[in-house]
Amino acid sequence: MKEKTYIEDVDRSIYDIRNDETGAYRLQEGLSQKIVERLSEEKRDPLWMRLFRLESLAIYHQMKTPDWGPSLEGLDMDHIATYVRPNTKMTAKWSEVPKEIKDTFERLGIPQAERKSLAGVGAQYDSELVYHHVRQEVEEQGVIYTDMESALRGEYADMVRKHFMKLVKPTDHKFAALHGAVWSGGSFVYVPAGVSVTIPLQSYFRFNAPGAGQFEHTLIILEEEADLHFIEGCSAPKYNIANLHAGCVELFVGKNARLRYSTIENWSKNMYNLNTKRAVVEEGGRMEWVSGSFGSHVSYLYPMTILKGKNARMEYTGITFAGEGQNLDTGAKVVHAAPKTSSYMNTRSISKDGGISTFRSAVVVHKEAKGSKSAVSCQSLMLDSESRSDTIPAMDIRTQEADIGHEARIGRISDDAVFYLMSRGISEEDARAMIVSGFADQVSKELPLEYALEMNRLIELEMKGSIG
Amino acid sequence: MDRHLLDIQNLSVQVEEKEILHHISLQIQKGETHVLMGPNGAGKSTLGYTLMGHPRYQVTEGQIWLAGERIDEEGADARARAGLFLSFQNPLEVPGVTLSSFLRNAWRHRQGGKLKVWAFQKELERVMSILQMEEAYGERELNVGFSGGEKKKAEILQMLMLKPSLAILDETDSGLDVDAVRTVSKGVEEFQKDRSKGLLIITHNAQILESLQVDYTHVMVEGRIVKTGGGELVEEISRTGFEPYIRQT
Amino acid sequence: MPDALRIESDGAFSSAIPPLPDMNTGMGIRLDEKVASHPIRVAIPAGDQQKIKVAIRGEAEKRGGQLIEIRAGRESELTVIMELTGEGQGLMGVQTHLWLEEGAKVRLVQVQLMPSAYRVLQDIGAYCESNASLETIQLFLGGSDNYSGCYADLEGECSRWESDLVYLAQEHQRFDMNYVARHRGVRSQSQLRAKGILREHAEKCMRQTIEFVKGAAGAEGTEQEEVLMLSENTINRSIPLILCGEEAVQGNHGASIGRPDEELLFYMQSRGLDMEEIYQMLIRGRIEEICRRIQDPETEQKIWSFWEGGGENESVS
Repeated sequence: MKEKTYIEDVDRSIYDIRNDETGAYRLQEGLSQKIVERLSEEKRDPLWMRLFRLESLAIYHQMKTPDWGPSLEGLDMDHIATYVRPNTKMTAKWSEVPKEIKDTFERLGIPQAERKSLAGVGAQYDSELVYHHVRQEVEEQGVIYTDMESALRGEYADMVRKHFMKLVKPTDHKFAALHGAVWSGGSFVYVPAGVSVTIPLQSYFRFNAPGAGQFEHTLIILEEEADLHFIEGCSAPKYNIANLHAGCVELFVGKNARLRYSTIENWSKNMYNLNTKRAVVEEGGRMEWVSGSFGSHVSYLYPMTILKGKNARMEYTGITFAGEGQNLDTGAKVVHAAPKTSSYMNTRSISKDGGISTFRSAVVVHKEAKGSKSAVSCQSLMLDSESRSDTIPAMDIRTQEADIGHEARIGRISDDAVFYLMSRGISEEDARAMIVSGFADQVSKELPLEYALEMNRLIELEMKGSIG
Repeated sequence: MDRHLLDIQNLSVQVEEKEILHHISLQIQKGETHVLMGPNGAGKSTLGYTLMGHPRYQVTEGQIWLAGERIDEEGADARARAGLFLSFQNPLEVPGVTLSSFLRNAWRHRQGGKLKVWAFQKELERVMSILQMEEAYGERELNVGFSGGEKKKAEILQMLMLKPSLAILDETDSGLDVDAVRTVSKGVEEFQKDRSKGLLIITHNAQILESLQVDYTHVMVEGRIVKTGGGELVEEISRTGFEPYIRQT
Repeated sequence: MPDALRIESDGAFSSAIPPLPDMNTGMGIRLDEKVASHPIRVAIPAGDQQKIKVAIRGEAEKRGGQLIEIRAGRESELTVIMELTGEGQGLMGVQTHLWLEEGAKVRLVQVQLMPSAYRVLQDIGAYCESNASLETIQLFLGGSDNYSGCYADLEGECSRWESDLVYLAQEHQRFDMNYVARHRGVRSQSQLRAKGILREHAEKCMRQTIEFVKGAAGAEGTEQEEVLMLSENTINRSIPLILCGEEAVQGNHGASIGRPDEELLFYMQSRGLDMEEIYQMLIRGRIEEICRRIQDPETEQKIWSFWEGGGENESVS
């Protein structure tokens, strides 16, 4: 019988270092009106926000838990703390961040990355941002990059109020309602008309507290002709009890503006990642998503783009790697609502060791969207028969003047390819790893170099093992 | 006044906001064969597509007249019915539709809506034998799985069947072996026999022209006709290439 | 109302043949006892070769259903041609259960030529043993609301299913279709091809699923869909699924949806054809393709006379 490559689980030691919650303020577990009121008080919300939270909570209680995707049975809201505030204040000086937290981010390479290649960095630790910094030259261009709480009370308060959860409404689904009720932390970015931010901004979300939820809100507004690359990184140490991430990302891309939103998600495998991301794109604007999903126990993640203006376009490049104990349901949705809009989705998914990956997509072309184009291509790789890989695309086309293409492929690493590489003296293990990285290359090449390296390292770690 | 068969007057054409042809004027009379030569990218095929009315090519200036009728506002089907024919460099595949049923439909239009099955069948046999095409050809799906040579032959077959008053052959000789070129030449000669018809051959090499009677030769460079001469110009160009004309511009 | 449908067949149908076990079908329904009280059954002996024609005619103002069960014995070869015709308006449901024993080859042809006010349900369930080979060839030209499904359980090693479907949806016709290939057998194969043309206000939803159950090593499945939308008010929905629980498989899907290629239209126009004629030719082309697969001149002739008569059946004698 042919021997198989044994593929080891990812070495998560860097991510798994946990800190004690010493001195952190932690809200009681579970969800009630009282808890939400306490939270609102804690955060010194304006009145409208307090009301918004309570309204969202009511919606949350009315809505049903989704039953069409991976099971959420392990998630017991009565045992999720919705708010854990680290024992520190937000700061713009790295030296002022408490040592323990600082060490965590140092190990993850965040400050180094900032020095090298970022225009600004936000670092969230549990429910609050602990560090936020923007380069001076970027600030001088009029770019605002701040934590959501400051934005809610500062100069841009009206703008926040006008946009906050207007794209993702609390009525969209149960976890959007939950987010509306208990959101905390996250970033607000505003790029004025014509301003091009040449190096990326980054927010890094670190989850330390066990049995808690992280509900950060990201709101990015790009005015006409603005240009930005925003990077989001996520990680957490593994605990035995469920953690929940129900963040919300709302992106407004103005006329002829371009926004690239990259995510490398590496939550620990006790995480329920129920994140909602949505963008609306005005005339001639361009939305680019780059998404790598490696962590989490369960993911429901389908960034949605509404192409609202003529000639708006979106590109989605995604990779999902589902290993042991993971059920990752990912994909994208696009609505063509204006003429000559175009969308392009390109995804790769890999399943191994009993991991389940599902690609779910929707392409909706309205009658008005004449002359639109859409191309979807998804490829899945199965590394063993303990795993599962499903492809569930849907297309709803209501104009003939559209050019719609879809292709999907599912299969395994070709024995011929492995043999070919081995015949040139490469070990089977290396050959397989090479083929998998090649398969993922489409996505990693879309990332800035450091992140591409980080992603390749993650894949290599996932693939590393010995012939057993 | 003589009515020209084809009269191109001061024609400028743009594609996606970019002007490709500048002020082209060209007249073709009945019984004449014209050759349009020029280096790659000169705009030769653009002229062919524009004459036939491809929606991507936009006439910004000038007019096109065919046998005294102005046609530059018409759709491609109306131009075809008026007697214009363009052979494609890369004829498209039409799955499910056989060559003969396609021809029957198109023929019916050239005959003013009437189809005499017997006459059609006889003519088809005659033309196919000139082009040395097997009868079974007619039952193959149009251009589906045809080799390069077969596609070209099928284009010439359509030309001979539809009997246009003016035919434009676009690079019909490119990529053909010697035998196929000979067959195509034979088809073209057959077309030339009818002195009421005109022919415009677009090419960048002289191979196909060896055995053909050519009345006028035009050289196109960068969207302009830079020289017009008689049949002898073909030979000159095969000796000197386009270099002298490119330098000229 | 068992007499709402008139069934004529030259095959050896008999009610004495024992029923087939329950099986999955594409629509996942059981025809109501009331509308399908007289199932007809045929069993093809091992090694036999047969061709059976079944004409099913729906009468005006009636609702009728028919369950047809077919067992094809080992190494037998069977062609079944079903012609669905009718008059006036009404509802017709035809459910076909197929059991293919080892090495059996079955070609099931369904030609739906119903009047434009008829609701039509066409449902197929098939169970394929080792080396069994099923071909379904379907042409849907009529009906108002059309529901169609086919579920093939590719249980046996090297069993295969090839599906060719052509439909034309025009005016206010609606089509709702569900095709499922469930691969359980080692090296089983499926090919699902659907070509459709939508005109006027037609609406269509097509679900194709290829499922690879764990253990179906070496299985291969392909879904292909092509939809030509020839007018502005049509609605197209496509949901092509690939579900995979086995590593050593190959699953493919490809879809192309929209109006015909601009270059193609220009090419045909340049030969003097106007849009309507080009559309007619494209439709004829699709029908011709399926006729070539049906390989039955008599059925072919009925298809063309239905098509050319604008959706009217010739009157039955």
